[in-house]
Amino acid sequence: MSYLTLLFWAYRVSMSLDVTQILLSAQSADGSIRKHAEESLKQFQEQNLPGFLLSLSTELATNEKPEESRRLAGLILKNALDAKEQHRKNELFQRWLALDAGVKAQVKALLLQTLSSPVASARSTSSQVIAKIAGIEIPQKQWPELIGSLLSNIHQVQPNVKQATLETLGYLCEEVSPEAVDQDQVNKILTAVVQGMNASEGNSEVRLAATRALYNALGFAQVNFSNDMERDYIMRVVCEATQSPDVKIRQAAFECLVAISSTYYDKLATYMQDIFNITAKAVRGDEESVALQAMEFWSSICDEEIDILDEYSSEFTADSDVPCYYFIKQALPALVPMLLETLLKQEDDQDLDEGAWNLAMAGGTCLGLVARTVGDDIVPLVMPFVEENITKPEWRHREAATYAFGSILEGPSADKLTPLVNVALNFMLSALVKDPNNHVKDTTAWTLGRIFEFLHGSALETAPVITAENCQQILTVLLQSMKDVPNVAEKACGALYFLAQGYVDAGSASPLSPFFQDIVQSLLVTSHREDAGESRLRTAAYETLNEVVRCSTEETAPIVMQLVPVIMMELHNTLEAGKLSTDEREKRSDLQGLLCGCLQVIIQKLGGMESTKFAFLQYADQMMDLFLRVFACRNATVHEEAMLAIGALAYAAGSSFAKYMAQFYQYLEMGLQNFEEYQVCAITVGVVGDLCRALEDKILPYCDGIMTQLLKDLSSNQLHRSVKPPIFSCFGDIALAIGENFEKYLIYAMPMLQSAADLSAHTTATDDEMLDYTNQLRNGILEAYSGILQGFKSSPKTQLLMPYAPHILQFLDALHNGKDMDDSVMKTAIGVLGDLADTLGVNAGPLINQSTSSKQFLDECLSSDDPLVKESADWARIAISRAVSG
Amino acid sequence: QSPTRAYLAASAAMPRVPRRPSDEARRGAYKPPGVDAARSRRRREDRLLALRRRNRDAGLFKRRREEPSLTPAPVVPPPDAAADATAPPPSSEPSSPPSSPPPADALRAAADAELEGLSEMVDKVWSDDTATQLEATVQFRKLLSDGKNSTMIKIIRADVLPRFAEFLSRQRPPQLQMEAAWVLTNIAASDYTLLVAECGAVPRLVELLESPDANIRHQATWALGNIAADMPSCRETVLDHGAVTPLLAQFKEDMKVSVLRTATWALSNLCFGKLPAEIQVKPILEIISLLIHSADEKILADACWALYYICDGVEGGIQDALDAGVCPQLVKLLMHASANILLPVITSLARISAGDDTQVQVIVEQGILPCLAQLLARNYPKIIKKQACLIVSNITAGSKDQIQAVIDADVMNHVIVLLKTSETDLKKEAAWAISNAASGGSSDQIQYLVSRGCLEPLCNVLKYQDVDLVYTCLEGLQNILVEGEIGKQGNESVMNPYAQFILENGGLDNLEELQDFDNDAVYKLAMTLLERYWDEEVSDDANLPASKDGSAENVETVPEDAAAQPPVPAPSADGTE
Repeated sequence: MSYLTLLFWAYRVSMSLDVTQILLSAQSADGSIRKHAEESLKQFQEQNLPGFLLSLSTELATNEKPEESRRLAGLILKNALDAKEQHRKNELFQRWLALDAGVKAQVKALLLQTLSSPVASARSTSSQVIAKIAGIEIPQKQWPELIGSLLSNIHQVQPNVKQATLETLGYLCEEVSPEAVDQDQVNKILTAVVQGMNASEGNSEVRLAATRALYNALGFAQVNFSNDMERDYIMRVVCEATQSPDVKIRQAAFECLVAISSTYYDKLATYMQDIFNITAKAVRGDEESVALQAMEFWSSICDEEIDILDEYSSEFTADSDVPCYYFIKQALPALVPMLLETLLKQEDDQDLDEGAWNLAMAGGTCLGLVARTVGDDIVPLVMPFVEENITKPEWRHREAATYAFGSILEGPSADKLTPLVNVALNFMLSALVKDPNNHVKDTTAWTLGRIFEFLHGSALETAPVITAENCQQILTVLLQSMKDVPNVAEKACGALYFLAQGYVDAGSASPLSPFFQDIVQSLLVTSHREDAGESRLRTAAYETLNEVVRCSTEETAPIVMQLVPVIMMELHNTLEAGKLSTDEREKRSDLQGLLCGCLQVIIQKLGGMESTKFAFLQYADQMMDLFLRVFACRNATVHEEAMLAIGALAYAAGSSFAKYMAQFYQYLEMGLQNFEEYQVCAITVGVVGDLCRALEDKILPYCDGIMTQLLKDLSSNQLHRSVKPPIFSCFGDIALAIGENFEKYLIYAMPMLQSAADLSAHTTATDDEMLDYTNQLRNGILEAYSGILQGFKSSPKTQLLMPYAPHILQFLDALHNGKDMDDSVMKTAIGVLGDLADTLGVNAGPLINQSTSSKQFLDECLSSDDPLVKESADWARIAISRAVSG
Repeated sequence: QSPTRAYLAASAAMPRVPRRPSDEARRGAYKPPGVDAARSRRRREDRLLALRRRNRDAGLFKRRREEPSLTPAPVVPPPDAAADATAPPPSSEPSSPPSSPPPADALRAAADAELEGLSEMVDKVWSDDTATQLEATVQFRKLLSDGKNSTMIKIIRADVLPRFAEFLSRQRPPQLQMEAAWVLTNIAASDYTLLVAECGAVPRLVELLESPDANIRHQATWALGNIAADMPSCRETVLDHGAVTPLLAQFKEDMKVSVLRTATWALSNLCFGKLPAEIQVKPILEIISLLIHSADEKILADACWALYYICDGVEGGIQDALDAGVCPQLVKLLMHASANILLPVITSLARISAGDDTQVQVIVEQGILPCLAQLLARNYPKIIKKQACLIVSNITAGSKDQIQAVIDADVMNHVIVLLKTSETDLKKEAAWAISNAASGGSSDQIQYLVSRGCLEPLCNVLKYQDVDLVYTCLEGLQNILVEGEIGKQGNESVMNPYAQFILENGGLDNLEELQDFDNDAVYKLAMTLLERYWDEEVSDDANLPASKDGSAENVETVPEDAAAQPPVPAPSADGTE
């Protein structure tokens, strides 16, 4: 034993007694004892991380210790290695990697040793901690012996070691990305896992652990699934596991099948017949947890085929990697009857229970997906079921029939559906009023909503389902249903929502106009119902009101105008309430959010029409006053809604918004400082842009504060990255508003733009999401450049920008060379080239001539198919020809 | 069986993490609520974002339109062929077609050198098993997506095009048709369109336009569009196989915008050049007259180009277009914000304005003149203004009533400003417009033109070395001077008032310089004018070289002088109402 180890050993012994006690105290029922223990642990971790980790892993590894202290020790270890927030996570990773190699080796040895413990919870906790460490070390090419030593455990005789090892392998596959592991080791892991799943494995705990491990390991099996023999073998073992006598194994095996269906869709053709038989058997006869997974397999296949077919019918620029095998279409004659059967297995009151999820619901959802996948083909398979059951005395039949009809309304063509809907509509309307069963009424209202969503609207070319004759009847029924029990009323609101949406392009005269007053009145009454808190009825009523207002026409503008003081009064009332409990405060926040959202829609409607704008703006003072008071209530959602409404108000009010700035500014700054609730920050950044356009140079007095905050936001690594591109765009908005006054911010903003530009030009995006973000960032940077350049145009200070011109041109050249920008970046980029020439004129001529952007890039944009790119390029060409020849 | 290659294909894609079967996600899909607070909020936010983006673009756009006051004013622009081409060749969406592809045989020979790794794929394409055929076709399609010429050459060398053409006729599996059409589309988008046109695919693609599968119809449309975008012989192949009628049938369906775009684009490619006499234009125009109401810019632009091609390339096309009722919308589109729309619209109208007087009258009655006044007054691209002037000149070439309509719409003011300030080629169009008005106008109308200050810029135009321009200008001056003679008879003053004006503004010097002009017609007309209206001056100069013979040295020096002194635009041309 080396000196170093001896030292740690001594240390461990001296601490261990304390640690057990502290860990037990940390779970005490007595709050003060618990708090004290937590403090001690925190202190220990901060003062002596190596000792802390060693003590905890020793605790976990020691079989004599109480189970509770061991489990908590493992949990704290795990939390010392991983966190949810990215920056905290990175910090913990770095701290672990920086530890002394001896300490790390000890901790790891203790953890591996724990895998042989007779105590199940200790094994399980330990396997999670091992996986976390593997997640940190394996990508760094450290701990190369881990997988080997785990695999050697597999040949142990004791089932508990085997089980714990397989569990560890499963967690490991979840934590480590496939690229970090050699194919050779992948093969060994898969071999061990699949062997553990085999029916010949006598211990069901081992078999279950293996099956769950395979679920996580599937992402590693690309190569193996491409090899026919290996794939056949894996598929056979998975299918066999679905027949295990142990229900947990059957469920885990179906979960594997679901994962395979999405990961290896294109490899499934030869197994589909067998899989159908297995899943059908499970759906019809197995326990619900298993049946649900079997059903999920088909939903998942639908998801895949919908995606592929979408890509087929999209612009063809996107390459579909996988051809569609039309599995659903082939399985249709057998699949649909199976799904219809499940629809009859509803539970009572499933519509009232938000968490409910059962086979009938899963089957219904799957049926809807199947309809979207195959379109018209599903109609003849479902309609006989609908016709047979819709009038039966037993409510389950009527509900199932209605649901089946509702679920096929998306997917099949309007041509196919319109005649059916024309027949069904009257029946549905009368069922919504007369059916004695709430469940049937709920589904009927939902189905009506689907009819209006998919078969109503000016985009359709088929004969309209809603005519002057039946419009009034439909409204009468819906408004009446809004007085029904909350879940039915909520669906009736939903139907009205889509009914209104269908008339958004109705022009000057909407068929809803004659009933507008009644509709608005009914929705307000509904929102005030005592029981409007149930089934999200209040939300539905307000959001429907919003849609009704948004889609209304000028002829009903007076009624919308009357709504303004009503909604403002409601918002006022929420602010007058006295002291509230937490629960009441939450309800109040929800309501305030809804009311601010409603005002936002009204502002856009009335502020957007010349005929109403002036009259509407008479309310602006009061409204702004209310919004400012709303900001005093701390709730992120409410702040978002109020900010959005203020942005809309700024557009409507234009430069006269300036009078609110003195009071509003503090909340603007508060929003910009809100790192935690980054959506609030993002929305506020957008509102700054709105204000710039509304106020123009009247925003100048506030710019020092705003710019300071925006620059802080950019330098923060806590702020969510999605907020950064809009901040750059916002620079452009500010510069465009204040012109050459932007001068004093140049020395701060330009270096930030430059470094962000360098970063975004040289990022090689590894996935679509990353590429998307990179392009947003580029767009933001370019918009900033355009705004700044155009802001300085015609100013005597134009030459201040000259030093930045070479870098801007380099950035454009780099984007052009990179070849991975999207059309919108292309449009903005070529526009910047024009702005550079436009503002800097002859002085920039030689620089521009040297850059490739002015030649190939411009030529490419000039011949672009995208009219916006081309328009931007035409402008750049004119601006350059002036600068170069000038 | 070839597991190795399957592995390569699979490993190229990032392995996806298995999707977690999530009850929660599915539960959300069960009776999804129409009104969901979070979703509604996002939608509201998205609408505001869209509004914000529009406003940001509009702000920038406005600023860009403003003339930079400190930048030196534009002089003669660099030669720019692209901006001067009125009608672009048919566009090719997936990639640009070649100017002149080499003949088919030469291509195959040139590609002989490169061939590797394809043999297996080729074998699979020729196998008898449909699944294998499909697999290989998909592989070819993916291979083609890199867009490299070298890949294209290898595939062509493998001589598989006829096989893909054959797959187009297979009813099942349907995705084989789809994939084969896709492969051919991409090849047709390359430099080797001719090979696709000749491999027997065209009649089958035309058949596929009637496929029950919308995706396949779309793909076939795309492929045919690419083929028609190439040289005339390719387009003729497509037309000969009767593609027009089934293509037009596409438009009657409930189609997606993306499909409609492709179909419109393909239709415009088919209409390019001279349509054969046996093609019925009326049904095409019926569709176009609907398409020009589209809100989608791509569709709109392609539809307008198609309209132009028909007006330009079909005998009686202008009348057919007018009969189809396109005029009101076409004139409305003149106020469209996008230059991509404006160009085909105004080019079409210019073509129509070259028709006979009754045809011209139709566009006048549809209110084209106020639109033209706007176009000429604002900062539109030069190419648009040129077309606008061309239309004005065609209208002023008409009856006195038509000239009066132009004057009433306040168009001439803007034309005169352009004549003063714009670049040579635009100036020439403006000169035509004024000259035509001067030659056909009544005496009141001519007096109006002079009172608006057309004489001074017309005289300045004489300094240019452009034969046509100078001659047009001289004709205009002549007409004005004739009018001045009539005025002179009224009173007893010695001098024709317009001749006096020209003299005072230095126009006479320019006229005298034209005696050295290297063109007989210009020389003669200038001499005629000098003799008739300023006879004492001419008699003074009678001893000057009376003909251009032997004066070549002078001719060499004059143009340089003249060209070095372009007029400087007025500081705010747009401000003058």
